[in-house]
Amino acid sequence: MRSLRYVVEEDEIFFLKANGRGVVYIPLRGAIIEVNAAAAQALLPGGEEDDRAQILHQITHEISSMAKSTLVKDLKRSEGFSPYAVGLCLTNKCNLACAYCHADSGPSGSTFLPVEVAKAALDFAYANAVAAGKCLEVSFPGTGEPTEAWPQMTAIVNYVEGLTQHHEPGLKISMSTNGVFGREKAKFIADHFTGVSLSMDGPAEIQNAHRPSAFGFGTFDSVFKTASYFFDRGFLFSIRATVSSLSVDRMSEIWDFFEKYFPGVAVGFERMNPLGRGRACAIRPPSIHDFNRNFERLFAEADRHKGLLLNSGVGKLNQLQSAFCKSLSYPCMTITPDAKISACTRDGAPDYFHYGCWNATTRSFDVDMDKVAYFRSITVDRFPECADCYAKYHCAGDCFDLRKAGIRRCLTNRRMIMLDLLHKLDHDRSITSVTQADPRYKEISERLYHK
Amino acid sequence: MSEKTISTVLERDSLVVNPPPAKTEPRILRVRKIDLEVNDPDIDMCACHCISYCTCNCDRGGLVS
Repeated sequence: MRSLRYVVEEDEIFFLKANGRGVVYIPLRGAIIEVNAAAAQALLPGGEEDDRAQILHQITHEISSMAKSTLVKDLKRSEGFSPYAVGLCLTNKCNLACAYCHADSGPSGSTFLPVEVAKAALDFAYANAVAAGKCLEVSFPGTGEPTEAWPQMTAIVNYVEGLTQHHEPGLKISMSTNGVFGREKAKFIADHFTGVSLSMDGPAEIQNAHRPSAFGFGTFDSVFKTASYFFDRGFLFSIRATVSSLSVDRMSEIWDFFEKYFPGVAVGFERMNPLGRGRACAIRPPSIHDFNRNFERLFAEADRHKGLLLNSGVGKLNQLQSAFCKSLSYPCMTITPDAKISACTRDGAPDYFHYGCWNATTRSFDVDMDKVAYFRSITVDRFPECADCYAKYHCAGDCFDLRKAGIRRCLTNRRMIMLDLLHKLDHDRSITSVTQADPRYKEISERLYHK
Repeated sequence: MSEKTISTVLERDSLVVNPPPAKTEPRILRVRKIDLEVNDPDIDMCACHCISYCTCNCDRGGLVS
């Protein structure tokens, strides 16, 4: 699913043949245009030049009244280092032993982020948030399970809540979690967090095969209770389901399962990556063909679901960006359990992404600004193969770490974005995003900002 | 093809021969506008740090635009 790019008066106009239809997409104007067969023919290589000029003229006239967006890259690039979003990787310990764990985490992890380092990071970020008049964003990413560092987590949450109690732009706290914990932890999270991403792969037999506990027990009952508690509380959470060869042909059933018990909750399907323990485990990644075939089926069935359908590479139709990940760009700062600053905590090349560390002597963070500049330069414009691709401002060149691992998701990204464009064209509704015009917007917004 | 030739063909093969179709002009069939959300550049990117957790409640994979 390749596209052709025309640049007319600084507008990037992408043409693609989508399921036999001629579709023109101008992302920075937010415009999707269907053209007739003659126009499609003209826009293809070898098309008649007069006809091409004629249809391009019609297109530029049509979009001239649509506001042109400014990309994130133009707004975010700045000098210095003053993040107001902080990722605190609390530990490398995990209570689960997921078959495919990219981080090879488990119960033997023994490194915990010192609370004083976390507090220093929060103080730094809070000062930046105040100066910028921005919301302070705090997240607890992997590589271990954040709730395994419970004393640290509760201390940090209580600290940052006190720190920001008079901060008008507010505080957001989020986390990625396996949800395998009791009611007391679930209640604390629902009371204090803005939202969480819950890793849950589907019905019991899939969840238990993919994500057993460190002692080999199934985890379905526990995570299902957590999800039910969050749902009943009206607490905002999304579900992240990893798809393996075991579950790929059950993706539709998995989404139906989540919709049955947690209607309206966004579900992200991510293809398993052969990284960490996933390199050699019995459960294998699904083929790209199988994943795409089943993912495409979900798009076809999307109208019977209230919640959004998500994928990290596909992104959202109504959001444009030139860099894939905030952790590779201003204004985010992520601290690893051993007190290093990292742009990616995911895989086996951690040193590559480190760009600073906690200095216990000066009690401040040392930052390698050359590396910061380098990471900020990693935008979609860096990849020549993306130049003519209509998906470029959605996948933004995709995850840089996956690129380094030799994993490309272009087929999936392009196909699903194309399907969402067609859905928007035919039904004026996106599968991957909601807008204020969408009836779902009010409900979801109220849940997000109910705190 | 001359009229005479067409006539010959019709007599020989009993085919219905349509006149050459008028050229279809290239044109737009339909336009849709996406309501882009770029008002706050600080929330429209992912802070998930890790592909395995990309469906967190940040705005890339997350819950709401």
